[in-house]
Amino acid sequence: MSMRDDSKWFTDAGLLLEAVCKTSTHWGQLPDIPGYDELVEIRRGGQGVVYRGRQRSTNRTVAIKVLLDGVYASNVSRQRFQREMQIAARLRDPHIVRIYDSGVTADGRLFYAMEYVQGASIDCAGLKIGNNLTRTLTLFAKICDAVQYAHQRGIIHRDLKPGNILIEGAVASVDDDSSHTDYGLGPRTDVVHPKILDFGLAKVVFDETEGVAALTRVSQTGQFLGSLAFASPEQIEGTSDRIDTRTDVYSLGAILYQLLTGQLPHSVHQNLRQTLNDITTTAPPRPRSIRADLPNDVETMVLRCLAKEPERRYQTAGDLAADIRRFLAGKPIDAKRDQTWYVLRKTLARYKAITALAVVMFVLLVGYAITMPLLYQRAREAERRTLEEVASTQALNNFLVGMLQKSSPELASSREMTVREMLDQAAERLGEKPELPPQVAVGIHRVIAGTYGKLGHLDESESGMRRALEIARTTFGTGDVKAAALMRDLGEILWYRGRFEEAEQLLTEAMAVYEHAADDEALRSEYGLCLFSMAHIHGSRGRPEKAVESYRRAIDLIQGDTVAKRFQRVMARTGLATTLFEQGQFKEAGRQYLETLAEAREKLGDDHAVVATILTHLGRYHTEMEEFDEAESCLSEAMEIYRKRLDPKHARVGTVLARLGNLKSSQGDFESAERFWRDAQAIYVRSFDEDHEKVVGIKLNLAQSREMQKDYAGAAREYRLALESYRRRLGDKDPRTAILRSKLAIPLSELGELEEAEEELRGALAVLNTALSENDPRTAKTLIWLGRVLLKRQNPEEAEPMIRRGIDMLKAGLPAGHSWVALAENALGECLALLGRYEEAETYLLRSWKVIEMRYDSTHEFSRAVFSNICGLYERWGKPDKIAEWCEKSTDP
Amino acid sequence: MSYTTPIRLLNRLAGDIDPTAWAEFHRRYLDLIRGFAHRHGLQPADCDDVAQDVFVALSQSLSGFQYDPKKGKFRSYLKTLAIRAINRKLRQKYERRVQCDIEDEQNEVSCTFDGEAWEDEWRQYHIRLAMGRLTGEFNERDRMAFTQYAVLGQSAAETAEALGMSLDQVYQAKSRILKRLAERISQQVEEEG
Repeated sequence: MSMRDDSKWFTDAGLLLEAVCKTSTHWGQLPDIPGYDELVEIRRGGQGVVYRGRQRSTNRTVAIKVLLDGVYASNVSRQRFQREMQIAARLRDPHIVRIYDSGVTADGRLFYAMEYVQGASIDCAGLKIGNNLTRTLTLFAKICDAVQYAHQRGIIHRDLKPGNILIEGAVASVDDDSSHTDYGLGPRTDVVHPKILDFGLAKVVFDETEGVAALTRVSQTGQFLGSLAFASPEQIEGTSDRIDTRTDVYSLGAILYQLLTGQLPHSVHQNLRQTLNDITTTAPPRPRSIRADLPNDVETMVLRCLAKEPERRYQTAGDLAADIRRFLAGKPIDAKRDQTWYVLRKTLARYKAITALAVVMFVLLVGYAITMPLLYQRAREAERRTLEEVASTQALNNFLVGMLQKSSPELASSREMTVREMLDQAAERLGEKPELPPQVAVGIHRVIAGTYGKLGHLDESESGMRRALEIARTTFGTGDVKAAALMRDLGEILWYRGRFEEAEQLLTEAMAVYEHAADDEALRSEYGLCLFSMAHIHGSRGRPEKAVESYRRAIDLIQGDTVAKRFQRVMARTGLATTLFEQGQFKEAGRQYLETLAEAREKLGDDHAVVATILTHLGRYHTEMEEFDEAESCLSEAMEIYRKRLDPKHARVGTVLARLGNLKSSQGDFESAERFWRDAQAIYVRSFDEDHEKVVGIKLNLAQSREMQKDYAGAAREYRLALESYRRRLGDKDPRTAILRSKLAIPLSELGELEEAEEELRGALAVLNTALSENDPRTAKTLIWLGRVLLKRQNPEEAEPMIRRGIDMLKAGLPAGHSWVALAENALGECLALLGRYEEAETYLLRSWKVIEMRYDSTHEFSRAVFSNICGLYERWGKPDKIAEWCEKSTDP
Repeated sequence: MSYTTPIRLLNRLAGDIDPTAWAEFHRRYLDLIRGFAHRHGLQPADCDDVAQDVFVALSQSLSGFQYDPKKGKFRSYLKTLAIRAINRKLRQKYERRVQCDIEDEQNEVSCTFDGEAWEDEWRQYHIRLAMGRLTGEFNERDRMAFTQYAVLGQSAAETAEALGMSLDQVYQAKSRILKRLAERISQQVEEEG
C-alpha cells in the first residue's frame, strides 16, 4: 500500500501501526551487553545511546554508552578504542567520570561502562551566565583540577566542551523558553560537583585523521558545532603533533568565556571557512566588551587561555586553577605578574614545601584517613579520643614544632620528603625524647607504627607497636583497656606476619580485659574487634568452624555507624565469606561477597581500599568458579584502587598480583601466570618471613604451574620446599601441611613413584578427615587422587569407593558441570573399565567428555586424558569401530 | 525533558550559539538523514558524512534566519539539503573509484531521488519523536506489551503471560498507545508548519 499523498497517515490506526513497525527504534529493545543487565535507556545523543545498567560481576550500577554503528568501524580503530578506554579507566578523580570497562555488544557495537552520575551537562543545567562570579569560578577551578589530574597521568581530553561536563545532581532544563535564568544548582558552591565525561575518547579520532578532517570525524559522531567552538587553533590547523595539554587549556578558556559572557569566543554561525580562520588568527572579543562588570583580572585569565600560541597560554590546567583561586582569595593573579616571576616562584616553592609537611603531619596524626587495608581494624573513636588527649598536651605541640623545624625548607635538602622519611625522622626524634609524658609517647608510637604498617613496613610497625605496648603496660598496667587495644593491634600485625601463636596469646589476653568491662557499649565493640582478629587466627590455624563462629559474633558486636565501624563490619563479613569459601560453601560465600561488596560501595565509596580487598577475594572466587571474565574485571579494579592508594610494593598489591597469576594459570596461560607470581613473590619477601603463608603460597603456585606444564620433577621440588616450610611452621597435624602432602603426591604419581605418592595421600587423608568439615573439596580431591594412584597400582577395587565418595563430596559444593567433577568422573570411568563394568564406565566417561570438551580445546591435557580413557574403554570392550569413530574426532594426530 | 517545537528550535539555532539546541536538533534529525542516505545505497560512515554536511550547511544558512512558513516547509528545505549532500557524496565516491578503477567508469553517479523514501523516513522520524515523548506517559509494562504484541507480532496471549498482564490490559495498552501516538504526531505535524 502506498502512503504517498496521504498527509493524514497517522489518523488511521492501521497505517500508523504499519509505519511504527517499519521504524527502527522501539521501546523495550535493549542491546545485549555481555556482563551487564537491568538496562534502562537514559540518554540518546549524537554518539550513541546511554543506558543505566548493572555490572553483574560487581553488582554496581553503571552508565553504559553504546556507540552508533559505524563509529570506530574498522578493526584497527576498534582496538585503539579499547586501548584508549583502558588507559582512561585508570583515571581516578572525584571530578572525572570513571570508566570501568569497555567492549563490544552482542550485535557488534562498541560500548564502555562508566560511573553512573545523576545530573545534567553544564549547559543543559542552565549554567550559563556567571551571574554569581565567585560561584562560577569556584566550580570552574574544580574542573581545572580534574583536567590537571588527567594531564599528570598523560591523558589529554582533546574535546572539552560544556556538553562533556556534568553537574551532579543538577536537573536538565531543555525547555521552550530556557532563557538561562538561573543555575538551578542550589544555593552553595561547595555542593556543586562537576564531573568530566569522555576523557580519552577523542584521542582515537584525532590521531587517525588530521585537523579539520579530524573535527569532522568527531562531528559525525556528534555535536560538530559544539566541538568546533571549543577547539584550539592547533587542532583546527591539523597539526596533531602540536596537540598537548595546552590544547585542553585553550578549551577550558573557551568554556569559561562562554560561562561568563554567554557567548562563544568565535561565532560558528558564519561561513565555515571564516569560522576556522577566526579561530586560528583573530583574537576573540574582550569579555569585558560583552559584560562590562567582569573584573579585569578575570578577563586577563580568560584571554591568556585563549592565546593562539600554546606558549603564551597557562602552561597547565593547574596553573589556571591556581590563578583562579588567587583571584578568589583577593590576591594578585600570576597571569599579570611575569616580571616578578622569580620572587614569586621562590615564595611559592616555600609554601609548597610547607604544604607538603602539613600533609605528612596530617597523615601521621589522622593516619587512618588514608584508607587502610586490613592491617589494623581499631576503633576510630577510641583512637580519636587518645589523639585528642594527646594533642591537648604541650608536649605533643613541642614535638611537632621540633619536627617541622627540622624539616623546614631552609634546613632540609631541596627535594620534598617522602612519608617514609618523615616517619623515620619522627620515630628517631621520639627515641630522643624520654621526657615525653607516657600517654603522649604511647599515642605517637601507635600512630607511627600504624602508618608504617599501612605503608607495608612491617618490621618498623611491629617494633613500634611493641614499644607502645611496653610503655602502656608499665604505665597503665596490663589490665588497662589502653594496653588491651595495643595488644590487639600487635596481635593483628603478628597474625599478618604469620606468627600465630604469639598473636593468639595477645588477643586472648586483650579479650580477657574487655570481658571484665562487658557492660560498656564501646568496649563491647572493642571485644568484637578482638573476636574478628581471633577469627583470622582460627582460619589460619585450620579451625574454620571456630573462625565462622567468631566472625558471626564479631559482626553482631561491632556496633555503631561511624566510617570505622562500617569498615570493620564489612571486613568481618569479608572474612566470613572467605572462610565459607575455603570450606567449600561456594554459594553462600558468593552471596556474602556480593552483598558485602554492595554494602562497602554504598557505605564507604567505590574507591575505598576495602572495596579493593573484597574485589581481590571476589576475583579469587570467580577464578575458582571458572568465571574468568568476572575474575579479571574484579582483580583489575582492585589493582587500580591499590595503585592509587598504596605503595606499589605494598603486600596487598602482591596479593592482587598473585591472584592474577592464579587466574592466568587457570586459563592455561602459564607464562603470564609465572610472571605475576614472581612479581608478587618479589613484593612478599620484603614484608614477610621466609615461612610465611604468602611466600610459601607462591612456591605452591609455581609448583602447580610446573605440574600443569608436565615438569613433574620441578613441581615435586617446589612442593617439597613448601612442605618443609609448612612442617617447620605448622607441624604435621596441621590440615594445611596435609593438603600440601596430597598435592605433592600428584607429581610423584606422574613420575611413577607410586608407593611414595600413596603414602603421602594416606597420611594427608588421615589428617583431613578429622580436621576439615564434611564435604570439604580438599578432602574430596585427596580421595580422588588416592583412587587414581590405586588405579595405577592395579587396585581398582579399593579405588572405586574412594573416587565415588570424592565425587559425592564435590557435587555437594560445586555447580553442575564443574571440571573437577568431570575429571573425577573420568577417573571413575577408568576405574570401572578396569573392573570390566563397561556400560557404567561409558556413561561416566561420555559425561566427563561433554564437560571437558566444552571448556578446553582438544589438545589440552584434560581433553586428552578423557579421550584416551574412552579409547581404552572401547579397546577392552572390543569395539574397534567406536575407537575409529572417536579417533576421527581427534584433531591432534 | 520538555519538548521544543521545530520552529522554536530553528529560531534558537538562528540566535546566539546554543549548544543545547544543537544537541537537540542533532539528536532529532540524525537518524532521519542517515536513514535517507542509507536508502540511497550509502555505507554507514558515508551516511554520517552526509548528516554532517547537512548540519553544517544548515548552520551556515541559519545565521540571522527567521523562520517564515510562507517561504516553504522546513522539511522540504531539509530534504533539499540532504539530496545535495547525498549527491556530493556519491560524486566523491565515484571520483575516487574512477581514480583507482578505470573500468568501473560506466557506473551511475547520480541517482534518482525517491520521494517516497523521504516521506517514509519523515514518518519514522515523527514516530520516534512521538514515542520518545510518550515514554514517560506509559509504564514499562505497557510499553513492552505494545512492542511485543503490536510491533513484533507476538500473540496477545503470549504477551499477556510473559508480562503478567491480563489479555484485556494488553489490548488496552495497544489501543491507548496508538491513540496517543496519533495525537502526538498530529500535533507535531501541525507545529512543523
